[in-house]
Amino acid sequence: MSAAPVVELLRRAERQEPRRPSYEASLLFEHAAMAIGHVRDRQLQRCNRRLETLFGYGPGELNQRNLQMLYPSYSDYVACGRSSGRQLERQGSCRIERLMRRRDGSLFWCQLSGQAVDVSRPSAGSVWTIEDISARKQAENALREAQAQLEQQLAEIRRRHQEDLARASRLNSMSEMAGALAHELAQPLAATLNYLHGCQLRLKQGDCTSEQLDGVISRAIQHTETAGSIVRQVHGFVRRHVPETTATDLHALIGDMLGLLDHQRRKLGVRLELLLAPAPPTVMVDALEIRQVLLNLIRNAYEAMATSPAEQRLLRIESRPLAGGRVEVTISDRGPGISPEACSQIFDAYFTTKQDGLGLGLAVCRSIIESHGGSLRVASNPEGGACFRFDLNTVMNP
Amino acid sequence: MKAANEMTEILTPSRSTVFVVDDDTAMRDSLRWLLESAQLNVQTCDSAEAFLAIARPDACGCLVLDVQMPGLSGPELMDELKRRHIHLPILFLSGHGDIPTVVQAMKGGAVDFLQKPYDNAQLLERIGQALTLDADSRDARRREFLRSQRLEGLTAREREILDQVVAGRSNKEVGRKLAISYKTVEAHRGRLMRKMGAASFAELLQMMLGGRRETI
Repeated sequence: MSAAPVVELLRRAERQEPRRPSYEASLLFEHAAMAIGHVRDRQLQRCNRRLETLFGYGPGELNQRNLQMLYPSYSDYVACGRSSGRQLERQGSCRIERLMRRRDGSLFWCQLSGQAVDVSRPSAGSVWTIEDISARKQAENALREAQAQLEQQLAEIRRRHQEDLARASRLNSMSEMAGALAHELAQPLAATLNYLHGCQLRLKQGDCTSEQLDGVISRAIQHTETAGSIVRQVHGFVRRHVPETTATDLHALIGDMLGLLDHQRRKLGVRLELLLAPAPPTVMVDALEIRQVLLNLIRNAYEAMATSPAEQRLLRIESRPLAGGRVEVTISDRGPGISPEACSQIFDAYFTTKQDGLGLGLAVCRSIIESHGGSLRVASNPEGGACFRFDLNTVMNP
Repeated sequence: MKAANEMTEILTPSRSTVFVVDDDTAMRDSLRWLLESAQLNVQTCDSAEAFLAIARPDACGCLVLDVQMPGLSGPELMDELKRRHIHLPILFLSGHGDIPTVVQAMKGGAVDFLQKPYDNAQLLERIGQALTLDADSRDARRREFLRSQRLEGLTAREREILDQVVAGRSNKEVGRKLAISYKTVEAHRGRLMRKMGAASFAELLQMMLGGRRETI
C-alpha cells in the first residue's frame, strides 16, 4: 500500500482549506490499517494510532518527536535520513527496508514508503507508511538458509556420487585384474618358498655357511615385502576411501603402478620407455586417486597394444616440468589409436569401446585430474597409437 | 645311420643337469638355490633363445620350462628341440590360463606339467621322475644303438641262426632246417653270443625282445 492517496487527500485538503485536513481525511488517517505518519524536518508532525502501536507507544506520545527514537542507533538515523532525503528530492518518493526499534528496545524489520507532500517545496515534508515485514524477512532468511543447505547437500551428493563412481571403477579394475594380480602375487611368494625350502634342505644336510643363508634369507625377505606391497595396493584400491591430500613423489606412483601391471606387460611382451624428468616432481594429491588414473591409463595402453605386431608394442611414459611449477605426464601407446569420433566421447561416463567395459575409467580419470586442478587430454601419437596427457601442480622446492 | 654327435652322446653320458628356463629373475635365482640345495646340477637361462644357444644334443637331465615367456614360448621351444634331436624331458610350469597350451604340448611328447602355485616337494619329485625318465630313455637308446651295431657285426649265417634261436628252435632243429650239422650250429651260436655280448641265452633273448638295462 502506498502513501499516495493519503498525500492526495492532504494536498486536496490543503488546497481547499489550508492547514486543516478535511474530516474524512482525518478519519481515513486515524483508522487506516497501516501505520502512517507525516514527517517534517525529521520530526513526526502527526501519526496515526496504528503507528504508535507498531512501535509500542501510547496515544500522542510520538507527536512532535524526532525520528531518531525509532532507529536502532544514531548512525542508522543519519544514514537513512540522508538516503531517503536524496530520493524524495529526486523522485518524490522512496521505499526502504530497515531494522527499526520499538519502545522496549526490540528491533524489527520494517518497510518504509515515503512520499513528498510537494516535491517543489521540501518544507511541506513527507508522508510515510510503515509496514512490519519481520515475518517476510524471517521467511526470506529461512528460504535463503534452506537454499544454501540444499546446495550444500547437492554438492555433497555430487561429491559422493563422484566418489562412488571412482570406487566402482577401482573395484572394476581390480576384478578385471584379479587373475593377473594373483600371478603378480604368486611370483614373489613362490620365489620366497624356493629360498626357504632350499635353506631347510641345506640345514638338514649341514652344508651351508651362515653368509650363504644370510644372502638367501635377505632375498626371501625382499620378495615377501614385494608381495606385501602388492596386497597393500590392492587393499587401497578396494576399501572405502577417505580423500586425503599429501605431498607425494609422482614418479614413485608411476613405479608402483608399473609394478602392479608388470605381469600384464610381460605377458604381452610390451617394452617400456621411461623418459622421466631428472628431478622427481612432488605433487600435492590424493595418492590413491592419482594411482587410479595411472593404473587406468597404463592398462588401457597395454590393452590397446594387444593386437599390435609384437615388435611395435612399446609404452612410453614421459614426465616434464612445465612453466609455473606444473608437471605434465604423457602416456603413449602404439595401439590402433583413437578415431576422431571416439575422441569426442572418450571421457563421457558409460562410453566404452571394450566388450565388457563399464565406461567409467576415463570419465573418472578426468574428474580426478580436474578436481586436482589439472586437465586430462587425448591426442594421437605421431608414431602411431594414442597418447594421454595430464598436468598437475607441483610443490615448489623452497 | 645315426649322427656322429648322437653316438658320442650315447656312449659318454655327461652329468645330469636341470635346465631352468624362466624370464623372471627371482624365479630363476630361487629355483637354482632350491635345486642346488637338493644337490642337483642346475643351469639357468632367461629365455628360450638363450637355452637354444647352449643346448647340445648330448645334454642330459631335464628342462624346467615356464610356459609364458616373451619371445619363443615354452611349447615353441619344445618343437625346436625336437627338430634338433634334443630329447630332454620337459616339465612345464604353467600359470593360470595356460592349460590349453600345455595340453597341446603334452600331445607332442615326453612332457609333464605343474600348475602354479605348486608344492616344492612336488616339484622336486617331478624333477626326479623326469631325470629317471631321461636316464631310462637314454639307456634304451644306448642299448638299441649297441644292439644294432652288434647285429651289423654278425655274418649272414650267424644272423640266420640268431633269428631261428630267438624264435625258440633248438640247435638240432636249426641244423635240420638250415641243412648244417648240429656242431656247426653250436659253433656259430657261441660266436654270435660273444659278438652280441650276451653271457647267457636268456640275456640274448632279452636283448632281442627288448629287456631290462641290467642285462647289458
